Order: sequence, then structure tokens, then C-alpha cells
Amino acid sequence: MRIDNLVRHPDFIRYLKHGSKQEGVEIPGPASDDVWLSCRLVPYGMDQKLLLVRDISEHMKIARARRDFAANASHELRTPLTVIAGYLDAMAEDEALPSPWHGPVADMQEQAGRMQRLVQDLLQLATLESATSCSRENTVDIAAILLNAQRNALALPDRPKQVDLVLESDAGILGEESELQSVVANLVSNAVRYTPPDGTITISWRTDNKGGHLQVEDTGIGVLPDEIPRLTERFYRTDSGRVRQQGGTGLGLAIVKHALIRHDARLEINSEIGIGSRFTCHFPPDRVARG
Amino acid sequence: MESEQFSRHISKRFNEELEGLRTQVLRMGGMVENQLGNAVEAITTGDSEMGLRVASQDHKVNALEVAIDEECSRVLATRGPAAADLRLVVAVIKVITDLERVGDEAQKIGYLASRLASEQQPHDNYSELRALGEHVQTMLHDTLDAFSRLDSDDALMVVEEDKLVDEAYDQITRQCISLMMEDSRTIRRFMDVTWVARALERIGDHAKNIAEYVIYLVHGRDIRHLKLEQVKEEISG
Repeated sequence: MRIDNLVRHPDFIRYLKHGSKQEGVEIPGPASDDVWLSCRLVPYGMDQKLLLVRDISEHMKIARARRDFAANASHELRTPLTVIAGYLDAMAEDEALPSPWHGPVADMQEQAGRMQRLVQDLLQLATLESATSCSRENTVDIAAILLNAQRNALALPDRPKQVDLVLESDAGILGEESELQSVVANLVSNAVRYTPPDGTITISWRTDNKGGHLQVEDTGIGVLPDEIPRLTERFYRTDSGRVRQQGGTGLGLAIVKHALIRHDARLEINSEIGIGSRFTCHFPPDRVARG
Repeated sequence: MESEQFSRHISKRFNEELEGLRTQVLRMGGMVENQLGNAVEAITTGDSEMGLRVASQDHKVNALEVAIDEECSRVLATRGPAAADLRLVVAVIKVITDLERVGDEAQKIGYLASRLASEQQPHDNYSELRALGEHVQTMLHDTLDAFSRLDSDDALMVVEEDKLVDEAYDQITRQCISLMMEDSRTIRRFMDVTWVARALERIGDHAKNIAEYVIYLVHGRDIRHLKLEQVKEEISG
């Protein structure tokens, strides 16, 4: 009896066939969909293979509960926030407002705005996380997105002196435009935020036989090597000195990571303290639409 | 009949070919099972993207059917199999036709799911369709297991199950009719729901067909169009 005759999930069969590159595979249990199994193939001895299967249903359940919670909570938070922000706007424009209150109201407006961005990011992250690989039906004009990002960055008040755009390819990406837009926007706004006024940001897009490579490079403050793996964690900050007054929500890179996963792409981060950082998104060849 | 019997032949290549055929069929079965599962999920969660994805994947199942079909004729032509081997090849040819049809029905459900998703999702999220969908999924799963284990008892159970599917289908149709009479604006939506139920019911029939081929493969008896009691007698006798 062969194992792939009974466990027939396509992912599992693909893993059995050319699994060596992959770490493992997660499939619904063959007997019941309520059970999730994590399978790993370990080669040993002469041409022998050992199949390790672990029940991860509990783990999946918790992950789903967490996602649902984030989605519901952020949705519930949005409604009261809209009311608060609305009245604050009205108050700020009201001439009858006593002058000692001008400062506090402006602060409140700013913080309400930040909180709205935060909730929006949380919601976006929750949607990205619950979805699987996205469709390949639309070709996204990546050059247009990058041009737009460059223009937006140049329009910011305290931006670095130079924001360059290097387009070496006119190929597009097969995927979701809005998600790729937020990938670029998040990477560029991070670069702007952590680069001093006399620094340089370089945005580039090129393709080769390994696929497409989208890169945002800056000459900013950089991060320590052992912090790089943690950068895409939500709300992770490299040090307390780099405080929230920078204005980010702490979710940007998590959004980037999940949007890229949906496009079968991966994020590579290189950085050196004081010299700068380089964020590269590697898209596989079958996601690249050559123009 | 034990699977070891494929390894009985003097020609090692022949054994491998028969074993390969069976594995290919089950691979195709796995694909179809997955498609069906996703299609039912698309309906109950109102996920139009997933529905369209199911619909766009059907060509893979079709391609596999053509490939297995070709392999079968090649084995027939070059090996001239006899007895149980011949039955296996014949059963494979029949099983893949039914599997391909299940794939088509899943594709249809996928399309309908994407259409239904744009309409109002009912409060019960089509729980009847989910129940029926889960039922035929289990049937398909069990019948493929029976095929891989060559277990005619399990196959017979699938044949018996089909009656329940037909009942559930009738019930959904009746329910849809009464809901359509209540409010004529919902006719379009419930027509689609009936189509989904119909497709699921057809999948149940195909699973039953496959189970019958398994019994044919194991016992060498064709039990199509026989009453269940007769079948049981045939097999035990």
C-alpha cells in the first residue's frame, strides 16, 4: 500500500514528489477536515524516508481565532473613532474655541488620525493574512506604482534630499494592484522616515531569469543584524529610542511581508548601522509579465 | 484481491505500469476531492474569488484524465492484460470518466459560488448545501479509499449512502420551491441554489459509480442496475 494512495491531497503529493526543497507541508487530515496535519519527510539510510506527521489542529485554531479577533476588534474600533475624529475636526475649525485649547485639540486630532491609520493597517493585515495566494489574472504596471511612490515621497516636507528611481525593466507583475501599491508605499515611507535630510533613497525595479526584483535602498540609520529577522513582526521597534513619534504604525513591514506571501514573493533585508538599509522583494518568474 | 498481486508478474515493468496507473488515478482523485472541498467552502463562505479559482483549475483534472486514458490504451495494446489485470485497466478507464465529471460539477459549483457571493448571503450560510456537500465529499473520499484498499465492503457502503444524498437533494429542492413562492425576488438566487444541490447530487451518483467499479474490480461482477439485496447476495455467494 502506498501512502499517496490514501493521503491524496495535491499539496501532499507534490511534497512527496519534490519535497526536498520544502521544509514541510500542512494539509487537512485525510479522515476529517477538522484535523490539520503538518508533515515532514526525513531521508535516512539508503533511499529510505521517514514521514513525520504532527497534529497541528489546535495551533491552526488559535491562529484563526487570533486573526478573527484582529479583524473584528479593528472593525469595532473604527466606528467610535470616526465620531471622535469628526467632532475634533469641527472643533478645530470653530472660532469660538478658547485659544488655550487650540494646542490640545490639534494634538488630539493628530493622535486620532494616527489611531485611524493603525486600525486601518490592522484590518488590512487581517485580510491579507486570512487569504491565500492571490490570482494571476491582472497585470500590474509596477513602473507606474513606483513613479507615483517617488512623486509622493518628493512631496513630503522633511524628506531626504534625493529620491532616485531606476527602472531597468518595463515588465509588470501578475497580482493585486492595491496590495503591491501598499508594499511600495510602506517600504518607501519607512525609508523616508529613517533617512536624514542629506541622505539618498533609491527605488529600483529589474527582471532577470530568476524573476523580478523590486528594491528600496536608503542611506538611513540602519538596523543591527540580529534585529533583521524580527523587523516584520507586528509592533516591533528596533529600540525604544526610535520612538513612535516617527509616526509609523508598527505594522508596515508585516503588511509588506503578508502581501508578498500572497504573490509567492519573499522579502530580503540587508542593513548596516549608520550606512543604510536595502529591502528587496523577489518575485518568482511566473509572476512576472514581460512587456 | 491484494495489491501485492501486481507484483506477481515476471515483467517488472508491467508491475510498475499497473501500480503507476492506480497511483495516477488516486492522484487525480485527490485533485478532484480538493476541488470539491474548495467549491463547497466557496459556497458556504460566499468567497467568490475561491469559486473562480476552482473553476479555473478544472483543466488540470481534464489533462490528467487524457493522460491516464492514453496510458490505459498503451497498456492494453502492449501487454494484453488478462483477468484481474484487465479488470483493473477497465475499471481505471471508467473511474477516471466519473472523476472528470465530478471535476466538471465542482467547476460548475465554483462558478455558481462566485455568482451567489454577489447576492445576499442567507443567515444560515446555506447550511443545507454544506451538509449535502460534506456528505458527498465523504462518499467520494471513502470510495477512493476503497479503490486504493480494494475493499468491496467499504465500496458497498458508499453505494448504500447514495440514497441519503437523493433524499437530501429532494428536501433542498422542496425548500427552495417554497421559498421562491414566498418571495419572487429570490427566484434567481434559489435557482442557482438548486443547481448547486443538483451538482452535488450528481457527484454523489458519480461516487456511487466509482464504488461499483471497485466491486467489479474486486469480485469481477458487474452490479450496476441491480437491487442492493441482490448485490449483497452476489458478492457473498
